[in-house]
Amino acid sequence: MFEDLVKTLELHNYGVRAYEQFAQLCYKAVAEQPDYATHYLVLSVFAERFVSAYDESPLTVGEANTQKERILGWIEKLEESLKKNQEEQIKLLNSVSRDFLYI
Amino acid sequence: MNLSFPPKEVIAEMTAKMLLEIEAVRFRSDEPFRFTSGWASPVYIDCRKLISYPRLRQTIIDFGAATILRSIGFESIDAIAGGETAGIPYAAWLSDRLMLPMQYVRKKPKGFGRTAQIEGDLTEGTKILLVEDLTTDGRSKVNFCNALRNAGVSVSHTFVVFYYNIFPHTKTMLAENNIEMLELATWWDVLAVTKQSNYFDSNTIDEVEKFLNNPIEWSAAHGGASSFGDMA
Repeated sequence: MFEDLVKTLELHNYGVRAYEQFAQLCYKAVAEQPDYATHYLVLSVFAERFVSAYDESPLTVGEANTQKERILGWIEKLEESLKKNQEEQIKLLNSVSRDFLYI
Repeated sequence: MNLSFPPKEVIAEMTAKMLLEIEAVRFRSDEPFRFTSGWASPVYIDCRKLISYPRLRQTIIDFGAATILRSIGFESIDAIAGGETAGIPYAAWLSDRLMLPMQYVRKKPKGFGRTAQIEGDLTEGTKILLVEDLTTDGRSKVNFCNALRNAGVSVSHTFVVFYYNIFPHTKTMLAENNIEMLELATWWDVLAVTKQSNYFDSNTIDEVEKFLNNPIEWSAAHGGASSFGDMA
């Protein structure tokens, strides 16, 4: 479900612009896939925090890779959670939300 | 206004020296930086540091005013607009020096309407000079100019303290958007000064020179973007 988001990050090489585009895609998806609005909203929060943190500050390749692994890891877990029941999905969304507060 | 007009080369060299003196220049090849657009780079510059050095910034503003007046003319611009965030202090000092009104442009609109991205009084049809601290690939300049033009003003020039001058498409893209850029110094000026001084060791300087001569190859070899197409 999140393939386009991952492709955008790859296309823009996980720089700040990649996350700007990522957030825009998330907003669009919130409208287009209302059943998964929370998933996309949570992902957009990560992207916005990334942009806010690094837009005018130096971002090292190491830090970019750390954040890349982090977002890709959560996307993978969110994708897997779609096969589970709603309770499990909410549990995971809570974990992602807590983690995304720290960037 | 008391201005002298030193040669462009002198301005470039002195600006580079000032940036090095306050350690606004960072060279690091072991753990490179990743630019906004995804390029990996051993160089980073923080022009915002200049705001903390009154003697330096006054000289930078003198250079800026001289460059603007020499290149654009004394009566060819009506106001100065700073780009959020780092362009705002430079726009303020330049507008003061040139005795011109000032606005600033937000990265994103706040509120509604044609001027939702602009702060300050804006008169339709006025000729604006966009001011920012630096230009990497030029995209933010286009975004800011579009915001100003959408608000009904004319923008044909932008001024920056520092221009990377390593991506060949930058000035083309600006020209395609009818923007001419004025700058005080580039990475080539910084490189020239570092070669004459002992700010960095020779290995670091060699690596930086490799990057400046072929940023695409260097970036690709260090995990960054590998073509301009990647930035589309």
